[in-house]
Amino acid sequence: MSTQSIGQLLRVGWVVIIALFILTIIEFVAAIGLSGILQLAVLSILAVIKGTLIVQYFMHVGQIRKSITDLWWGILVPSEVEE
Amino acid sequence: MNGLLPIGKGLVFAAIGFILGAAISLGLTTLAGHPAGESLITLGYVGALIGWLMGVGMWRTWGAEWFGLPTVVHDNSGGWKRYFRFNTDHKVVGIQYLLTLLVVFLLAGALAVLMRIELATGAQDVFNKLGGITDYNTIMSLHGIMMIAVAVATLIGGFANYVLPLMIGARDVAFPRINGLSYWVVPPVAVLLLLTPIFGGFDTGWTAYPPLASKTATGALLFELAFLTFGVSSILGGLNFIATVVFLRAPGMTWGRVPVFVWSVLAAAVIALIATQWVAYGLLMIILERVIGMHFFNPVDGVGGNALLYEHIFWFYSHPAVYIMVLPAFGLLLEIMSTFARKPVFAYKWVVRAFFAIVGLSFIVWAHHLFTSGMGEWLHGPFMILTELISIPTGIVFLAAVSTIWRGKLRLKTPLLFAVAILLNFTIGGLTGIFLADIPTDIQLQDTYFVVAHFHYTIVGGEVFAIFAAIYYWFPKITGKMYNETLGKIHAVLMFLTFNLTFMTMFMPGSDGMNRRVSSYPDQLSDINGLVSIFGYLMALSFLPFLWNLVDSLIRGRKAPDNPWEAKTLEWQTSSPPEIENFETIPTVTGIPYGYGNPDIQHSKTNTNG
Amino acid sequence: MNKDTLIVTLIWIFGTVVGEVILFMYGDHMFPVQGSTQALVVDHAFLLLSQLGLPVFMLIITATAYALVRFRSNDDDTKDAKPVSFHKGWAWSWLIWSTALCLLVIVVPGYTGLLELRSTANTTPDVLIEVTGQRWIWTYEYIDQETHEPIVKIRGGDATLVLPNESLIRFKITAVDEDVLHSFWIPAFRVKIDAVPGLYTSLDATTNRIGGYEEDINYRVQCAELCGVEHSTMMNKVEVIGKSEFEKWITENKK
Repeated sequence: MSTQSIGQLLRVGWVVIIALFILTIIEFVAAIGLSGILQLAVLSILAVIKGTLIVQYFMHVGQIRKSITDLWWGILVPSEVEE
Repeated sequence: MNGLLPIGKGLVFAAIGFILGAAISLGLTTLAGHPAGESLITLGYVGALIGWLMGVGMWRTWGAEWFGLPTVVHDNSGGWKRYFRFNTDHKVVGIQYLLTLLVVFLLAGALAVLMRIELATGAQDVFNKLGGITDYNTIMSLHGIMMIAVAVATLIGGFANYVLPLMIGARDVAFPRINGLSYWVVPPVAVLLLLTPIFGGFDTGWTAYPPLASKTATGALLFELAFLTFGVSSILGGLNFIATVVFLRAPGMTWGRVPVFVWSVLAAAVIALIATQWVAYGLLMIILERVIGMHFFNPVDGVGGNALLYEHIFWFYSHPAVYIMVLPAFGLLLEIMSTFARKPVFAYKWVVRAFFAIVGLSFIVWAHHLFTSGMGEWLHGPFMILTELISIPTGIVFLAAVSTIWRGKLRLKTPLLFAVAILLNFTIGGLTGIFLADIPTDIQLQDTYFVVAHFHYTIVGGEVFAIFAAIYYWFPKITGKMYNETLGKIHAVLMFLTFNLTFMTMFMPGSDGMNRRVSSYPDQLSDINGLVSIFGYLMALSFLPFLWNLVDSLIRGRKAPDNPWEAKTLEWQTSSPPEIENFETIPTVTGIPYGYGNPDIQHSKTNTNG
Repeated sequence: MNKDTLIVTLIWIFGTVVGEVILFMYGDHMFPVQGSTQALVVDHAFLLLSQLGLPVFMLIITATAYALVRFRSNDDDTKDAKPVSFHKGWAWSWLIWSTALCLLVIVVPGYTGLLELRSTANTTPDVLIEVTGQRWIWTYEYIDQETHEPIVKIRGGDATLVLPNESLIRFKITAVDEDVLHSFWIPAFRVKIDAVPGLYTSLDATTNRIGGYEEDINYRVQCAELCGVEHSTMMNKVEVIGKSEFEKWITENKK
């Protein structure tokens, strides 16, 4: 797991929350101020950025990356069966 | 009676929580200058829910920790009392789910009989006499949502909770306290739903489309809150099972040695984890419409709300949700067929891939529920194609099932009878689904009794039959007693016959032009509806042998051996019922769990039995 | 091919043939009255899907029933079955056939039916009717296509929707802004679409015979989306009459 202190970890958490908050404000402005393909593109990109932040920092998916690839490999090629 | 103390405390703290929540909402709305209205119920409910959870034991075993206070650790032993408080033993949680959902199932079934009494004739006669408290739409909506809850939660929250950790050789699930939480939000859900008639009922069906859902009586708000709460339970359960299967498998259990049922629960858990948030958000939007007056779905005042938005969000969850219901049923089907045919599961690799193909596809087909909704024309074709494609991995599961029993040595016990029934029922359910996936036919059949017959064939014929298969299969393991095999067979045959009679007949008013969710219809359709009703009453009666068997076996059943079915999976390699820590020593897995007919393949090695 | 497979195949073929013959002879009786050309498309699709689904149904039923009877073990037989080695050919051929059937069904009657149903979208209709749903009655306004003004307006549960025979009728459907979702459905025509507050949806039906509610209850407008307490009774009778009688009816009922 992590070798950082509680203080450092909490700081990362706060930074991510504030970043999400700012991104949401930008989303709101884009939703009202832009239109058409530009609006769609900007909102989609913002959604992907926010999603990535959440998946990496709140769901800690990066830390269990090995288990996930392990699982996918297991689905595609279950090793044991004589087939 | 001090065994019921946690329940009592739960209720008291729920009341306190409700008052606190309502007070906060009163304060906020007064500050904002709005009438309080339904916000009292909403925030009051949130307070009540938290109070209830803390009262039944979550505070003493978990909540206190958040504030640095000492917690109580129960030893989880001892009689009936442990079922009436917050408990972290997965076996206890499993039984809590099963018993609660059994009661819900019987209640919802009784409502169905009431519906069929009304529908036996074209005129609306029964419900007129029942007065204002109940009306047909509320009963029909309650029947729907209660059965949906049973369908989503029984195989996973009930059976998988009990059996899956045993099957993978673990001592419990990955997050036992979250498991307890997942269960204890379910009684409030049931209570909210049963309270709806008092608050004017809800006449929207379980799909609760706005604008009707935003405008109709307060019962609809209770329904929204109940469904939201249930979603929380589902998400947490999904998370728990994924973590359990990924991290807690016994040593030696590589992915290739995982039983098919475990794979199917993992697949369903993925859906539960990812999809449920969407319907939760849709419901939240309706609550916001009702309580604060936002208009996501309301086009008035030129502010551009659109009812179709809700339909998309709702079905984005509710379609994958039916695969939460059916995938564990498929997994169990194959598990039982393998055990009772004394043969390995055919095409194991293909089945696993098919499960995950179904998971993936299930997320991109939702708009087939919106073919007649007025959504953009360009969406019709693609969704028709994607929906039809799901039949291919489903077909692989059927291939495996039929090929597993082919040339087996079939022991025709009750679980196998139910498993075969699932296969036959789902064939009809799946094939009639094609009629609904194909747009030309769907235009006529959407919102008719054809759809009702179709989903009863898939959900009841597939999943509820699987629930009964699970009950008979794991009854010896869970209770330590054997059920009466003759009564079991009678139940299986009767239920299969009456079920098929009822719902096969029901296709006919559907293709004859009778729409659904009605309490009265043209007289010319009375005869066929009367017939469906009679068959329905017979189906209700077919549960009697089961109920008798259940009670009688619990009291007087013969003691069950550890492994009455001579199955190979790990839950059968420990005592019936298992001890609190599941296994004396965690077994080491040395081969696939389907080594029938091949003495070189041993699934597990333990010191006691192997 | 061994004996068991042979027997199952024979029973399967026999059952399928019998089923297809029955469908062929009585298939048309499955359907309500066909009051529009669209109905013919829809019913043809339904029949085709039944004919294609029947062999699949028969295969599963036959194989399962045969296995249950033939491969039963005696109560005192404690041995396992011989593990059948995985026949790649069987699994792959199942996959290929199911995929082929699926793709076939997508194209015919899926896409072909869809295109036929949409074929009238760019044609000017003979009659244009604006339909408004409001709990719990329908309002119909027959629109003059030159002036875009309503000529005839009828509403309420007692009104009969009168339409001319052999004409393309276009319905422009909505629901009142403050109201809820409804759905406009005429079973005899096999056309249905939701009435959504705040937007217009459109439906085409080409009548092909004279008929009415008294003859067949499927000549009715039925609300097909749950809209509250009186949803069951939100309906109107439909009457299809000759073109000249229709002109007379319009003149008699002009606003």
